[in-house]
Amino acid sequence: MGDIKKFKGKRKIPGFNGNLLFYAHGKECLMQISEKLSVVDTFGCDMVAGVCRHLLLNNFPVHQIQVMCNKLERIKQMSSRFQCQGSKPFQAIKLLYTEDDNIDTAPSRCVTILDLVSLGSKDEQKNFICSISKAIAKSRNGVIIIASFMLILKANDEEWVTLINKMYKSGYIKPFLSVRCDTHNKVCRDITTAEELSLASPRGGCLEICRWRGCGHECGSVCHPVNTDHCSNGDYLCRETCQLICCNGHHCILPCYHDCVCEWGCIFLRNCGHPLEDKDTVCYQPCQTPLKCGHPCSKICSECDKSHEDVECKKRCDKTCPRGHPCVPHRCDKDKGCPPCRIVTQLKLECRHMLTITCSDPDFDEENYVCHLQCERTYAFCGHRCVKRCYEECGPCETISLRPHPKCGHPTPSQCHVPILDPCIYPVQAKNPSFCGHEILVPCYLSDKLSSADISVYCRADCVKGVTNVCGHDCKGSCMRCYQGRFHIRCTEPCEKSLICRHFKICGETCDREGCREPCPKLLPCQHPCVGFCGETCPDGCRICTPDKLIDFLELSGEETRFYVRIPPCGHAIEESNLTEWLSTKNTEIKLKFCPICLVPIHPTLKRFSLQIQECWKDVQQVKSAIRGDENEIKKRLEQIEGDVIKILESGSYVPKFPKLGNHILTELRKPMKTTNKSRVTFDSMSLGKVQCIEWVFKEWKRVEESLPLYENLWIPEYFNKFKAEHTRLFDFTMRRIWPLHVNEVEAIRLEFTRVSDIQRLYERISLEMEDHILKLGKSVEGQKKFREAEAALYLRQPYTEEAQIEFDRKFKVFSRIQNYTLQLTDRERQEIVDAFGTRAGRWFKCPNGHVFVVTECGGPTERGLCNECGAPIGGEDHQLIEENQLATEMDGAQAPIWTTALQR
Amino acid sequence: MALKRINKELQDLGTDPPAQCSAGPIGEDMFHWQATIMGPPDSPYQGGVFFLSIHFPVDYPFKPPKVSFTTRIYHPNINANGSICLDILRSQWSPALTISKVLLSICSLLCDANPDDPLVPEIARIYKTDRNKYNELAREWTRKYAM
Repeated sequence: MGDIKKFKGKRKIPGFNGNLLFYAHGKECLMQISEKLSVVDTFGCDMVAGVCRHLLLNNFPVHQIQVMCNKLERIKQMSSRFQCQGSKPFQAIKLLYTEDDNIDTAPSRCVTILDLVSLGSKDEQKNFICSISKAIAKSRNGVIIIASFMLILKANDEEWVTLINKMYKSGYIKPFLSVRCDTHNKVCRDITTAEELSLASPRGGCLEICRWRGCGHECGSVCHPVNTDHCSNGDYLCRETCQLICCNGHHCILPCYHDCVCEWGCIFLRNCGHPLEDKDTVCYQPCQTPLKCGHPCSKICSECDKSHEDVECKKRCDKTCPRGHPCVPHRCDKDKGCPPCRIVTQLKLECRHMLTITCSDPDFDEENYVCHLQCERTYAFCGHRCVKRCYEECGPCETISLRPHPKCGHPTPSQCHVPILDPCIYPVQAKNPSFCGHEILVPCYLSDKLSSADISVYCRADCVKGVTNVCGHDCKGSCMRCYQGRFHIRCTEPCEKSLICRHFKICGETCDREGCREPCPKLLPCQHPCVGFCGETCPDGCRICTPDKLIDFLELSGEETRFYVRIPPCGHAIEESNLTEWLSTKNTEIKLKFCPICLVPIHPTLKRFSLQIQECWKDVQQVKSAIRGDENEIKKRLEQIEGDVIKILESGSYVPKFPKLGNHILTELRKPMKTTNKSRVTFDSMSLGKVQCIEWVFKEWKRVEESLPLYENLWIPEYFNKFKAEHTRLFDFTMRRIWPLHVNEVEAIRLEFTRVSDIQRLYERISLEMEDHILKLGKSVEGQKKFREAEAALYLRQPYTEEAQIEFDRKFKVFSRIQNYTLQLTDRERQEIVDAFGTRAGRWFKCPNGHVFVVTECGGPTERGLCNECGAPIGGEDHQLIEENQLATEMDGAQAPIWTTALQR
Repeated sequence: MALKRINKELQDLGTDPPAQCSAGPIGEDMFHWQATIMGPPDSPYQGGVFFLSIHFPVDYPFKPPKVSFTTRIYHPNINANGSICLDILRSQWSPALTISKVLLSICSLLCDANPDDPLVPEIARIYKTDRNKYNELAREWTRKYAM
């Protein structure tokens, strides 16, 4: 059953009033009368051809029309008819036989004209239904069925009757075809024959006159749905005479549809004044009328309303700013104004300085601008340039220049024309030699005021070379900062000891990176592949050339491709799984992992196995901490120092500098509790030995500082000052250090403290505390000489080493022996003895232990002997005393021997 | 793993046997060997044949083999159980060492005892104070147990 509702809502078939039209004609009677169908029944063919023609006149594309028929003879008849028609379009119409088994049901064309013919067979009515369904299925837009009224009248098949009823009720079946004019949107007429159709709609539309006046002339044709623009088809072109006049007043001689031509060759103009190129189109010339901005209007003439009120000029702005700079590229009337000029330009100010500004800087005010540039004025009397700013008053010359100092003539920086009043600080050679022996430049005014010790503070010379601290670096300090090499500054050289892991772990953290297992891509010199792993030092040895060098304890080298690891530092190449096994084996004792071949400890730079190697280091570390000392003990001692310091601080500052040191120690002691800076040694991590050092430094300070006030009264001022200066300097040096002290510094300060206490020991021997005769002996020529020698040993500008201490001790003993010598005689006894031997002084000498002997006669010894008291050698030869013997001034007060050359040995 | 190495060592002992020594597996178990050492000529152990048992650990050669005398011997570094006090059998063991080298080391230990690190202090005392007595006793033990 055909879907007769398929085309509901679709556009009507052009030129017809509906989508589904069933024209039931009454020509069947004739067909029954005539025996020869082909002769009589041309009505169906005519009708189909008429409908096709009408469709074509309505601008319907021919390839969208198909004609179907249920009788093959009729198809042939129609085909020859279309061929005879002569016009090509008809041949393009598709003819289909509905009984053809090859027909599919897919829609093939827009409109189908179905010619139903009675077949005379029994079940022809079933065939009708089938034909109608196929026709509907095969078309997209509509179906025109042309059939005899007899088909409806004779209907007796149930389905066929149902279909007819249905179509009838829907208004599809009519005894005529309703032709429609789409142009005037009206039904023209209902036609029954092809002739009626051509009369009712000769041109496809209705019978009204077209009356199109697009060119100014009227179209006289009847309504024609095609070529409504009257220009593309010859049928409907306007052939009236053209009325246009050219620019010079000549008439156009050609028909209207033709482009105008003046026989004089003049140009035809439009109303707008532009040349007429194509009569049928509007003017596409640009308007060109000048706008407000002066640029021509860029709109197309026909689109321009000529008032130009809302027209936007699209030209580039060509204005300039007040300083003559071209405007930035922008559309002429964009935002109805130009942007500010941003060109950076040089502006000459009134003061003749050039100023670089942005042209239209809103913040720049040329009238009130204050020039801050350097003043360019030159003073006539000194030739200096003014150092002030342009806007400032110049005033007197303020240039700092080098002028000779009035006192010493050294070049001194001072302001022009201002008298030099400050002391001269020009570096000059100091008058006194420095302790350290360096050539030292000191400020001129101090050159003759500084002592040797104070001069050394100005020493900028490099510290002694080749000092190897624990770290092994040369000291980079200066003579002054390192206290003449006695107290080296802390080494700040990069450590350069390689980290075990070389990647992002803090030193000390265990590296957990696994070694790369890819083979090394390099080639050996023998062009065989390297046997090592990627990223590691290539092992020495080749699988092919030198397999002996590759060590494999499991004797598996032939089984598969195995990789080898080079062991630092010995360089043996050992198979990787072997080495893993060997290094993972737990040690029964604490020792470093070693190369299985040469037993040399494996260096931790073997990154691949750093974890295993570090395990051993950790064991060693534990032993170390066991040696370092008990943590609780260290804590206790630190607390004790802290307590002592607090106690002294609270008891009042009896030593001027003590609070400074005390606070310093306290701050440092408490630091680790506040911060956990891993980069420096904290008190927490100090060994017991270090704590003891701090303790000792602290107590030493306390001792010296406490005794200073006492010495001030008892000691000879010169020596007291010397001692105090030495002590203070050491104090200052210690204070400047970062606490806790480095192991180098601890050693240095220990030596220096020994030195200070030795100085103290020496000076105490000549303090006012001593008995008179001791002091007297100390001041004797011999005593003075030995004293100076001992003092010199103390003030050596080098670390106060063990050897230096022994040397001082020896000299100190010599000096004290001189002082300690007592005659164990009363003054009277002594005088009597001296008197008994003669009047002139200078014959009395003493043995190394101070036992007195006399040389008679000339006073110069001529033979050797032994001391009666102690057996030491005494006397001498050739009037010269042996070295160990000395003049016994305490006996007769002689300043020189009587034999003048007796002591010149 | 270890088996291949042990086999290799056994093979090497066959091709290049060390002087005065021999060794080999006792039965099917390749990890349990027996070794013999002839008493070195210039020592009090001369003429004796000393038997030793060798147990290879599973992770040999990364762990040292367990070597002990089964024959009794009078020596300051070897006790009554046959345990040997030799550094290469403990802390100084290296996978580069072999049974052949170990046996040679034991041989030289028989010639030169180490009385400063003794396992049997009494024998060490006699060794240090009265060498003749030591030699005598050693010879006597050798006669008694190793001949």
